[in-house]
Amino acid sequence: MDEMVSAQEQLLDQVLTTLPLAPLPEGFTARVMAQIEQQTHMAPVRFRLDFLDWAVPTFTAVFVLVVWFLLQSTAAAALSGTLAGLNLPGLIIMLLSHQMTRLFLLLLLEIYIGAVVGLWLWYDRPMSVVYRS
Amino acid sequence: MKQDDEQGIIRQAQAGDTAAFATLVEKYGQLVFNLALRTLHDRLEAEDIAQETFVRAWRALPRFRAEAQFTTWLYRITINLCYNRLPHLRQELAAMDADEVTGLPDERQTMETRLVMVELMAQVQTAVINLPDSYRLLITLRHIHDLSYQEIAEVTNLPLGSVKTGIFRARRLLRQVLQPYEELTHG
Repeated sequence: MDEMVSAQEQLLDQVLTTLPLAPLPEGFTARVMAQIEQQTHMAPVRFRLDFLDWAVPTFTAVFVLVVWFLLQSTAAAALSGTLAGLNLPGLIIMLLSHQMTRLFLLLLLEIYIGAVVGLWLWYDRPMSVVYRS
Repeated sequence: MKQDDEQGIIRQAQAGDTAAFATLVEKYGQLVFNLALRTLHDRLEAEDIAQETFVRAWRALPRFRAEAQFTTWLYRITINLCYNRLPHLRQELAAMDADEVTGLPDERQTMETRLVMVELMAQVQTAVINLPDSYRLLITLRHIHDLSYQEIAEVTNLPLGSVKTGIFRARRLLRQVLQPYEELTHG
C-alpha cells in the first residue's frame, strides 16, 4: 500500500511539474509600464544653496548702498548750496567729485551684477523634475 | 539572466530606471500572471492582479532588500492582492492544522524522466482547477512556482505546519485522479 502511494506521489510530482504555464496576455508589459508612467508626477526642486542665493542678496545690498550714497550726496550738495549762496554750482561739483567717482564705480558694479543675475535667472529658470511617487 | 545581472537590473530599477523595471516585468510577468490565474480562475482578474502587483512592486522597490528573493517578494504581493479578492482564502489557509502530515515527498526530489501522458496531465490540470482555492494556491506555489515549504510559508504568511498540511491534503485529493492510471504507478 505504501509503495503504491509512493509511486502515485512520484507520478503526481511529475505531472504537476510539467503543467504548462498560460502565456502572458499580449501587451502586458506595455500596460504595466503605462500605469507606472502615470504614477510619476512633478515635484519641486530640492533645496540647495546656489550662485543665485549669494548673488541676489549681494545685488540687493549693493543697490541699497548706492541709494544711500546718492541720498547722502544729494543732501550734502543741497546743504552746501544753501550755505555757499552764489558759489553753488562750483561748490557742488567740487563736493561731489570724490563721491561721483565712488558712485560711478558702485553703479558699474551694480549694473554688472544685475546683468549676471539676470542672465543666470534666464538660464536657470525652473525646469520640471520627474520623480517616482 | 544571471543572478548578478538580475541584481544589477534590480538596483537600476530601484534607482528609478523604468527600462530596467520593464525587463523585470517581462521576465516575471508570466509567473505572476499564472499564480494569479490559478488562484482566481479568471483571466481578466488575474491580469488585473498581475498588473497591480508590478505597480505596487515599483512603488515599494526602493524598500526591497537585495538579500530577499525577488520572485518570492513578488509572489507575496500577488498573494496579498488575491487575499483581498478572495477573503475566504486566508481563512481557509489559516484553518489548516499542522498535525496531519505524513509521507510528503522530499522537496528536493528531482525528476529524472518526464512522462508524456497528455490525458493524465489534462486530468490533473482539471483536478487542480477544481481544488478548493486554498489548496490550489499551495499546490501552485509548490509545484508550478517551485517554492520550498518555507518559502511558501513566508509568501502566504502561514505557519510552516499549515503549509505542509495544506499541500498534503491537496495532494491526497489529486491522487484520486491517478486511481484509473494505477498501472502506470506500477512500472
